[in-house]
Amino acid sequence: MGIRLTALETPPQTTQAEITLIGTGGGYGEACVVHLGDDNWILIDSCINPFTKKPLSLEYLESINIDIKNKVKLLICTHWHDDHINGMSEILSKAEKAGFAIASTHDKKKFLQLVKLDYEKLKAEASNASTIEFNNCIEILQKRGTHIKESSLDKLLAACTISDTHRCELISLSPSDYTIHEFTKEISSLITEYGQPNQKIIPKSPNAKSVAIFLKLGAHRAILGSDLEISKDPREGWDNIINNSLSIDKTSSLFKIPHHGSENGYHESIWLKLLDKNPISKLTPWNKKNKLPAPDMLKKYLEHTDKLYITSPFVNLKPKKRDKTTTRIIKDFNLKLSEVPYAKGIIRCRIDVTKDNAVWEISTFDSAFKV
Amino acid sequence: MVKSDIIKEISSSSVKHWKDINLTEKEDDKKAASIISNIENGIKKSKSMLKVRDTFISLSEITEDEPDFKFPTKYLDYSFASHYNYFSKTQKWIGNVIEIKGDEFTAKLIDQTNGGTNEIAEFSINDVSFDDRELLRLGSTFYFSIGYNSSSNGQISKSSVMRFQRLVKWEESNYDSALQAAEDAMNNLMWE
Repeated sequence: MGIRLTALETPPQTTQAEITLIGTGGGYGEACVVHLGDDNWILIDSCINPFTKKPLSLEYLESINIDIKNKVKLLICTHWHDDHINGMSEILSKAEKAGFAIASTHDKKKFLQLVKLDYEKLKAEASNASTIEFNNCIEILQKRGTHIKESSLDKLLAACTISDTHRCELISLSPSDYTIHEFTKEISSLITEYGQPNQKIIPKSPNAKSVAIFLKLGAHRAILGSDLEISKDPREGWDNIINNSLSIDKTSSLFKIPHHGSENGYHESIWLKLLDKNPISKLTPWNKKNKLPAPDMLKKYLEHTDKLYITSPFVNLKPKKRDKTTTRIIKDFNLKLSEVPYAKGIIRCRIDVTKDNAVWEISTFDSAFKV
Repeated sequence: MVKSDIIKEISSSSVKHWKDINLTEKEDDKKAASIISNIENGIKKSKSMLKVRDTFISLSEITEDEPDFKFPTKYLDYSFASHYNYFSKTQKWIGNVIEIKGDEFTAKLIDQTNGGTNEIAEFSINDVSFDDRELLRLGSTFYFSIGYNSSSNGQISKSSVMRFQRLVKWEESNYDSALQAAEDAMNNLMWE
């Protein structure tokens, strides 16, 4: 008697590419799982279940019975934000054959000094979670001797050929040369103004350094926007990609909307120049003090597509449930506490790369839904 | 010091104290034993409080040099906890300041008692002790707890404590260690 798999547990076919977006309700990050075809898996960013502390990408791959140790070929860290990097070192430790890609830096030594100096703050529990994770990844990579790939405009990070004829590629679109240069200066100032050992490092606008990704899947195209924002300077962000990318050869039929659908992540030219009409679009919300996407942005996105998916709905922030005694004391002190809710949502998209006229198969799980 | 010696010590010092009470020698020994038992309980209580002192009890109340045990003087003090307040933790968090606006600040709180989901909290600057206010900055870490405070005279009151992470004096070795680690990483990592 065979085991019946649920829809979520069904792995993709060899010729099927997959782009799966995992969200956590707007407070614990997001991650993306990509299958280029033929068991070539790539994980982009990482987020964890706050209860089990387990990376959700690993949970997902285990649910579809993927051999994480051997089949995950690349782990990409798109930028330095806690909600995109939590659990990354655990993924790297389990994915023993995986390469590692980060945004390019000119002065690697200075960058490593910043990481190690901040890691020393671990003792004061003031280290960035991202620094701790990144430091742990560095130590794993040192032991393994794995090469680190550096992401920048039009950099090929992964490729394979499906059925001997259909080429699949993963290409980074950012950061730009100018952004990389500016980040080198920023590292210097972060080290100089190192601050008190009990204070976290606050890098300026890490989103500007985000790694956006372009996927060529046979005849199909997709763009994953990470948290990349528009910039006042056309040498950075989406303007630089639109004006200077040489790898974008066709418009994309699937788009992961950047930065939780914020105004900073919206650029009309992306929709007009880089995307098909009415592309499949997906995003994760931001649900802390501020909520993203804002209603007017949601409306704007719906003007561009009627295939908009979100990993979880907004939930009104409420106090965390606790025992009566503690709840009473919190009330007596008039403490304004709001729980950051956890709600896992998965938006999975699969397409046959060997068929030029194939359409995306979209499935939503847990909290995810079509707007 | 052997217990019998302690009893002798206390007995001799207590003779004067109890002289007006006309205790017999045997009763005197009994009293001394009772005193020792109280002192021992006091020591146990102090030791358990010292284990939790780092976070939740003001450091000004406890010093490293504080002796665990003091021989009772002429006026015997049965309560070793007289100058410590016992704080029963109901809920504790580690907080990280994420926004400061005027005289209010917002922090992300990580639940240290039950784990699980995080919280966002809004505080007034008045919630922060004067000693800690200079430590209140974007990115600062603090410990926050609420619970019941049991004072030495048995009074129970609700209490909250917020302590910002104290400045840790960095030695040159801390910097050297970090920079050496960076040097090692630079030499051992392979970049494409």
